[in-house]
Amino acid sequence: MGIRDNGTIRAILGRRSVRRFEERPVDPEVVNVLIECASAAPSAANSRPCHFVVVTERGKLDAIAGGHPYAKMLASAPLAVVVCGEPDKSDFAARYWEEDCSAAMENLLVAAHALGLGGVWIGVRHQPGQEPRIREILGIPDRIAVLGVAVIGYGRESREPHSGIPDGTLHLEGW
Amino acid sequence: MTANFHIDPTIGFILGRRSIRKFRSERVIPEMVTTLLECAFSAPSAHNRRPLHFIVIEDRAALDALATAHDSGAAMKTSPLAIAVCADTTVMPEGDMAWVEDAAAATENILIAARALGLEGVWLKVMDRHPREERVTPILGVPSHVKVVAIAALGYGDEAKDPHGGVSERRIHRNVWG
Repeated sequence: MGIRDNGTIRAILGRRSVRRFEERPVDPEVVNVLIECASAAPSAANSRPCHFVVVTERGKLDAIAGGHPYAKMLASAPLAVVVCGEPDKSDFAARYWEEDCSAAMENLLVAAHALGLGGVWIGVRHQPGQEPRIREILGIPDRIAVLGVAVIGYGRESREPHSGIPDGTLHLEGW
Repeated sequence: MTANFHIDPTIGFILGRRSIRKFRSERVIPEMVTTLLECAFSAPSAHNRRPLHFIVIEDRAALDALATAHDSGAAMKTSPLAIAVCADTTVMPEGDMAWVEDAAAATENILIAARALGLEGVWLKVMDRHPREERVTPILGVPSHVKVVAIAALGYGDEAKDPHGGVSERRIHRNVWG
């Protein structure tokens, strides 16, 4: 068996952004596994700065979708996991919550793909005006940072896996 | 309750990934290094701007120099491989630092893929620690518009740790914060 036949390598290469979903909900046990995988991502000095808001209420999903320029697909998705950071938890959390929460987000998306789901990472932190808007919809305190939204569901589209290394981006032993 | 889903090997590798800092001397074959890099490039990128570059370091003297320069970098004294995850900050609009997120997602992909291939590794932060950043980046020779976000030290592990499991309910909120 070749290296690329490894099931986990296939899951990582096969994860693509999925934006069209079936209506069927995601089983709560599956949601728990996704959160467990997200929580298993490393964090700076084990500072564990991540929080997860699991959103399944239609009204809230629609509200998030409604005012974000790149989140329209959320109106047809059964699940969103809003990944948040707690920067004031510690000095390490303050410096690195965004990296740590991004690793958690990627774990969640790879795990979703491995379990037959599809999803897409909607950025919030760097999208002007979105962080306060989503805080308000979900009652998130001001001291909590909102990284982004994992929109998850059973996909109604499939795309080819990633492969290859773009020209000019790989450097050996030094830049 | 969730035991059935843990049979999925990918879930097992995600939960089983721990920070491993001691390595055996065996080299990582080039085909595996290439696969780790492909997995890194498979991480999503904000607006598909793809700001990332990777530096593969296998030269013993360079690894030793990085291990000395990085105040938490002792893992590179024994690791046969390190991959520096770098971002070209000019690819994003001025002031948009979403490249940090892209770099972190790619680093996590490298570490999960490593675990799945029988390797282990540890994520060493570089950016935003001083003087660490100033000591590490000259060794890698990156130009000033490129940030070294992290280094993954990689190899066959010479220590083992229990997998992660469970979640802190205090960190999960359902439909509303609280």
